[in-house]
Amino acid sequence: MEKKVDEILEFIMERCLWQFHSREWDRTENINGVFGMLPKLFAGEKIAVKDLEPKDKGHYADAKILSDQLLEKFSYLKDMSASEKDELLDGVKAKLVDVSITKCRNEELRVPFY
Amino acid sequence: MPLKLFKCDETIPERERHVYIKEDGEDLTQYLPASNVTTIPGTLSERGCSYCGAKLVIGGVLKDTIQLVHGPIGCTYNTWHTKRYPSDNNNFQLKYGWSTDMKEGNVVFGGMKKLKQAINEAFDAFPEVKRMMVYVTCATALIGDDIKSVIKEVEEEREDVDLFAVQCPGFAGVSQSMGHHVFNIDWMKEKVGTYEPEIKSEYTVNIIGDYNIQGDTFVMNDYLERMGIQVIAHFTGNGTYDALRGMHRAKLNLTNCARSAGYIANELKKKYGIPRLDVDTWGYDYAKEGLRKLGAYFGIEDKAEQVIAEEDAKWGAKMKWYKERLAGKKLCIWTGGPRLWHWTKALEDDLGMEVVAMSSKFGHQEDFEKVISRGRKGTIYIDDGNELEFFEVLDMVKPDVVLTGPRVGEMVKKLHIPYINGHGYHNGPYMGFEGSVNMARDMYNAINSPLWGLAGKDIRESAKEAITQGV
Repeated sequence: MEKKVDEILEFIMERCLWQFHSREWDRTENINGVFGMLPKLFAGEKIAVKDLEPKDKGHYADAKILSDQLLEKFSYLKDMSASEKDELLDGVKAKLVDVSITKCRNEELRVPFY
Repeated sequence: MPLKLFKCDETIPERERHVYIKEDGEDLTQYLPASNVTTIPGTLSERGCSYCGAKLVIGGVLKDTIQLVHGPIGCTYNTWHTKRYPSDNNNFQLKYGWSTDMKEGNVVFGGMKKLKQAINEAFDAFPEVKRMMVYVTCATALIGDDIKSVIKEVEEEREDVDLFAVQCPGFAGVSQSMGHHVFNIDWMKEKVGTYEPEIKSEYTVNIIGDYNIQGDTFVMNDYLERMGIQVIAHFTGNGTYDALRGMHRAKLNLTNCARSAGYIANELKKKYGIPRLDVDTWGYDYAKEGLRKLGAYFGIEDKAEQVIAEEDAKWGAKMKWYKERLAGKKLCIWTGGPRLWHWTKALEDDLGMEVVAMSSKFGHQEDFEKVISRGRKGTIYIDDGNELEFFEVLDMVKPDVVLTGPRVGEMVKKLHIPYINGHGYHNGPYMGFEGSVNMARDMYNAINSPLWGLAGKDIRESAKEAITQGV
């Protein structure tokens, strides 16, 4: 599982931009938003985009592209159970928060204005 | 590998904080170069000034606005015509430069009277233009000219005009980045929400951080139009002053250059609840991803797929042709900041090239987080690089081509290494599908040009021989 967590984390770091928004609160909001959508998308749940709040539409769009890419690139995801996928996503999210927020060396991350 | 001190920097060891070489097993929590900090004395920085960041990069792009520079004449000339951003109204913004042409006498006795006269003169000379940006420069900031009060007077006297004061002199920050910041924040505070755009589609966006370099905006707008999406404001490629005043009416902020314009995207999110979606508009595969993201946001995925299929049919084979010929070629990207992270994976994934060194003039640590995450192991990452460092890097990495600006490009050319203009492009646009092919073509032509070999030959002896032999 640890290896899978690292592979997916590396892919997100390379491919996505939402975890690198300017400030801690943006990053937190984006990471929570995208990781809130991913389990539903992995489960094949249909999400009615037009009914979502604007903010959630943004997270959905980022998460939808990411889940399509992950399912294509990491074939083992299709064979994992829902609980295994949850465990995997929890692990990736925890590490992503660590690298991009908690242990982040970016000195502007907590500047109170943009 | 920890942060690196170049040999040429032995007398300025502070430079070590600004250079990093990525190695296996390292992550961002261990090393992140210092950036967006004051240039170290002793290093010959390639940076621009803060006024330049506001005027040349953002404001000066607008196609319907007089850009009056309140300062000595050089401040106008040096921020005019070097960026090659056309418009669909016959390039008004590229044809003219406006300056109050401040002289010693004006500095001693104040330049506000001269400013008012220049504003009126410019409006009289261009009676069809009703919008103006007035830029303070180092000289006029130091003497304390109050340009806001002059603007207010003019607005009261000429009722049909609207003016914006850009109060960001060259010394306001450590680089041009401060100019981006001040322009974004002041525009948001003073102008957004003061104009109501006509809404023609249920899908509306602001495109933020694209400056129509050699027609990039035209490429992007074409894709969006085919998807039925209305662009409320383009910040600022081929843009208009009033469209930027109406940015509050878009349903989405599609952000490309997060460095120069992320601020306004953030503020629009904070004040009006408009989401910010970041995309890479350079890169062939990224173009597909960006359109798919936009399609997902509005629930119009089918339209996105249609545009992708049409563009792929036009450009896919060409891209493949260049990939076969550029794979394995090594390159450096020495530009402003964001193009490092926009381009590195795109050039590696789309074309199989290897980005071996990257340098940013004005990027912040956020940009280095992105580029180090996307970049290769073994690649050199430099903040605020200087010319001697570039010489040393060239020796270390031996690139096949360097993407950089014309000034550093001239240095590279003298070493007979191909260079591509990474700021204004050689033969753009470089965005989208078409742009990716253009960029690949320019790099292919540069690398394979016979000129680099010929330029290194001394023909004097053979010419003398030919003359002697009467050839």
